[in-house]
Amino acid sequence: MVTAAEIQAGVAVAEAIVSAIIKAAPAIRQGVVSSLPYVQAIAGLIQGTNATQEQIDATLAQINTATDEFLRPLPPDDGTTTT
Amino acid sequence: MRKLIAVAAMLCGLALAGCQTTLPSLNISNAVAMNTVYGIENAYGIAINAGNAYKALPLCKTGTTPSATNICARRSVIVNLQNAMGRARLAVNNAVTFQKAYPTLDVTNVVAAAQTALNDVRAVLASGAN
Repeated sequence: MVTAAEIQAGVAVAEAIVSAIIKAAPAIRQGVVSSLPYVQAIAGLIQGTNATQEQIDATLAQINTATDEFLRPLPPDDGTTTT
Repeated sequence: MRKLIAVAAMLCGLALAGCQTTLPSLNISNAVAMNTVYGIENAYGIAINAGNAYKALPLCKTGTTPSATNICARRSVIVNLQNAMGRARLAVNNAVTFQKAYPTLDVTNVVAAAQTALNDVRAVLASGAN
C-alpha cells in the first residue's frame, strides 16, 4: 500500500528530474506539465479516491483531442530529416 | 392479528435489507471497473503527452542521432509512435465504451488489451531515446 508520504516523496524526486529536463529541452517541459493532471489522477486512485463517470468521459475527450494532434502527419521530408 | 402484521413487516424489512446488501456489492464492482478504466485512461494521457512533447522537438538531421548535445526527434520514431498510439487510442476507447455499456461486467480483457497497446507505445518511446 502506497502512503501519502511516499507519493509526496516521489513527486519531489519527479520535480527535481523535471527541473533538470526543463533546462535541457523546453519542448519536454510542455509535455511534463500537461501530464501533471494525469499523474495527480493516478495518485488519487492510489490514495483511494473513486473515479466518476464524468471524470472518465472528460478524460477520454482530453486524450482523444491530444491524440488527434499527435496523429497529424509530419511535414513532408525534403531529404534533410530522413532518419 | 397485530403480531402477525408486525412479523410480516419484520420479514419484509429483512427481505428488503437482504436486497440492500446486494446493491452495494454491485456498486463496488462498478467502482473497481471505473477506477481501472480511469487509471488506464490517465496512463494513456501521460503517454500521449510524452508523444506530443517528442513530436514538438526539432527533427533530427539526416545521418545524425539524438544526444545530450543534439536534442531532436527521429522521423522514423514519430511515424512508428503514431501507429502504436493509434492502436492504443482504439484500445482505450474500447475499454471505456465497454465499461459504460456493461457497468457490472469484468473489464479485465479490455483493460489488458489497452495495457498491451500502451506497452507497445512505451517501447517505441524508449527507442526514441536511443
